[in-house]
Amino acid sequence: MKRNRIFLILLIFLVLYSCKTGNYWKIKLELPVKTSLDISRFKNIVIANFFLIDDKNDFEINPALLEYLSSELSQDLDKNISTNNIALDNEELFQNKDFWKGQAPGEDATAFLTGSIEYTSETRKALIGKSKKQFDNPFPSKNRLASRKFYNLKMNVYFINAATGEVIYETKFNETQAYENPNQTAEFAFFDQVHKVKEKLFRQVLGGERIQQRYLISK
Amino acid sequence: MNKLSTFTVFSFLLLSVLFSGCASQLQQNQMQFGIKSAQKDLWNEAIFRWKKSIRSASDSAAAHNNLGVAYEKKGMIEEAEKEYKIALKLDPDNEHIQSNYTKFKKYWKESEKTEEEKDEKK
Repeated sequence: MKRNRIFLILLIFLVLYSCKTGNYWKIKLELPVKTSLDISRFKNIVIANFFLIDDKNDFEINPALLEYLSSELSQDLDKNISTNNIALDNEELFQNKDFWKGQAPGEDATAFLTGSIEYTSETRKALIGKSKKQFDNPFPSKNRLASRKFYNLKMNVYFINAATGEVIYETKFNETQAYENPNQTAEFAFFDQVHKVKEKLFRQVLGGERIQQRYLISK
Repeated sequence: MNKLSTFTVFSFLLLSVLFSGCASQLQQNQMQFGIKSAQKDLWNEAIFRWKKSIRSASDSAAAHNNLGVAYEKKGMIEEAEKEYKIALKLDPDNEHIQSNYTKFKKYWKESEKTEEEKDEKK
């Protein structure tokens, strides 16, 4: 009699527990990213020179940038990609519709990719602290001053419709990177930062996917 | 003897109520099938199963939540938001549904912002 009761009570608890416990699963989703520009209407993309603001660098930015962007765009876009060494004297030219219409007369499905660049560097001294160790050090090392080379890349990027000369998309980037090596070359650092800009720009223009985590629930 | 039989009958009645209240087995099977499909990246199948599950138990917050996730994956944002809202209404204290809806809102709002705005914030 008593054994029966205990058995039944245990059974009731078991059933109640199985009903109440909600199971869940974490799931990783690759979610689409909305694009800010409809590039599908263009057959040709012409990468034009960028206007250099305060150019004091010891390497040629425009040839390096045009080659890099055309190579990257060719891989990701099924369009005719070309470069054009258009001379840009000032930043106001980006808003000059007649100037851009004259660069590709009669080409309706063409867009120019261009913009302005400000690339600077500076050496800063920073106080570098030692990380805490697990055990007490009888001879603790002091914080020390160390030099870091900082490179800053500011880019304004424009997509211009060759048929109308209008700026159809405009975006800005500001990347800063620090290097422990005080002799880091400007050209090396430039490609580090341009790569980051490219990732962001392409995500805006071409879309892509981002990983997100969500929960699936069974009860 | 009479006492024992009353207790047994009562216990069996209680158990049968508990079993029936524990959601129908069919509905639960659909839920599980949907989850397995989603884990194998078969989202259309998962949507089909969760919709079927909702047809048999429209008050299932879990099914609505899972449908929200599936619609999000398919890029059907309005539908996803609708399902998350229903799920939250049905089970407002569920931390997993809350988490999904918060992340959903954050992600899709951010995705609308331009990278320019993000850089300016930095």
